[in-house]
Amino acid sequence: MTDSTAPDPYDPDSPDMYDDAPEGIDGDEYLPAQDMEIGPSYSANSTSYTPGQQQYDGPHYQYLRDLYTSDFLGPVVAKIQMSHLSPRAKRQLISSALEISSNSMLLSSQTKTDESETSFLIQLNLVEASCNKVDVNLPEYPHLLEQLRELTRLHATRTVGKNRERMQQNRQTIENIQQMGERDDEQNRKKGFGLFSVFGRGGD
Amino acid sequence: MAIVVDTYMIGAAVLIAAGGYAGLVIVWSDLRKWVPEWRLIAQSRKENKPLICLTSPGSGESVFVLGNKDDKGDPTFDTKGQFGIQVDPQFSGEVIPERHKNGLNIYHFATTLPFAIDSRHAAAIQTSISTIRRKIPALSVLSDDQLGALLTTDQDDLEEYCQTFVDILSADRDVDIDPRNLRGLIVQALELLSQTPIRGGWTSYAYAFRNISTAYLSQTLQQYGMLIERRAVKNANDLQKTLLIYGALGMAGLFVLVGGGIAYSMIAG
Repeated sequence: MTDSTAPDPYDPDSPDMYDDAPEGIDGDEYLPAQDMEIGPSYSANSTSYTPGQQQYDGPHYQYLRDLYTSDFLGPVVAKIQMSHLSPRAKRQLISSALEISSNSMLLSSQTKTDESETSFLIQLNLVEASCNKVDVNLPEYPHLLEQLRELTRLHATRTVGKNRERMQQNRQTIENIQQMGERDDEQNRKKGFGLFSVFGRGGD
Repeated sequence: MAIVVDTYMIGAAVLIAAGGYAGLVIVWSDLRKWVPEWRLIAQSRKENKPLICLTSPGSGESVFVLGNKDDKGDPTFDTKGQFGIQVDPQFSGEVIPERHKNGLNIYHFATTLPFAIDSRHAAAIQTSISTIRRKIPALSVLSDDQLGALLTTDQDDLEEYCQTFVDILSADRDVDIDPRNLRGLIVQALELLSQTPIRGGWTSYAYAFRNISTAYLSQTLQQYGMLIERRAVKNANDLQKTLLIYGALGMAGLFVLVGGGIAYSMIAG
């Protein structure tokens, strides 16, 4: 069931999901995925994060764009900017966050999540090279890293496996999300009031 | 001249030998107990390898490890069973070892850092902190770690980082310092240090290691190496799998061709 009051991610006139962004964050710096260009722009010389505004009309492209972007990236970058890390650590952390969410990372025809996990760990290693002792002793530091780790894990698992959240193996197979949802419903529906499942699968 | 070997003489010889062995055992046990590093020191001199002194920054306790290498020309020492990776100072920069008589060279490493330091670095770190503490008391609001972090921050970032520090400090105590003032004090401290000669006297390697502001550990560097290795192994395995699949397909194709040929010859023949 769809909640009619929830903002529609595909409607450009829909209210911003992050209108209630924390105080001190500029609205433009706190944009959800639907307002982001694939491969958001970031200036290495400043700490400001400026996502793109590119929109796609076709549902196919819309779907691809959603597959390769994250609505969490904007907030996590804003959170890094607001943290008490040193400017050098912030720059590296933002750079790593953008890199792990970049197209080149996500479209690299991964068949397993090991590769993206290794890339992520290498990024973390580089982050640590830019940190000082005060940075790593801040309570925010492990929190931010764990958020990035979770973001990476979810990104990586989107494109892997036959029955995973999204179907995009080697850019060959594209399935409709609705079809997947219907298939799941079908699987969950109990046949014969659930009586046969007792014999077939050992019961619930 | 005839030598008469009687019981007394044998007894004396046995006693002298027993005394000698007892003396050897005592010296050996003393050596093992009080100079456990003797073998490493001997090996270091004999094989012309440096000795690595690994100091724990927390407790100041140190252990000696022989500076072995897996391959000649390796940039890191083979210190398996110890802590992380230790980079050979011949590759990492100008570090002067402690030179002892008869070719015994000792490099000082921390259990947490991949690079060695020498006594000049240790004395410089000590001089920097003690000079600032003595001459700029307004900076006493900062801990040694915080002071080190600010001193090693680029000038471009200093103002922003000072603001962050004021936010951190004023969160849990009443601190009467503003970011611009803090930045001014740090710049003043840097100017003061540029004119201060390194003081001699005692130095503590543990203190120096504790106050190096980087968070990059030798364990982190080791992890980096392992990640690169893991990726290389995975790529090699993937290639192997691909070759196996193509090989199996090729064999299957060959079997079909041969089987088809035999069947054809049987039917046609």
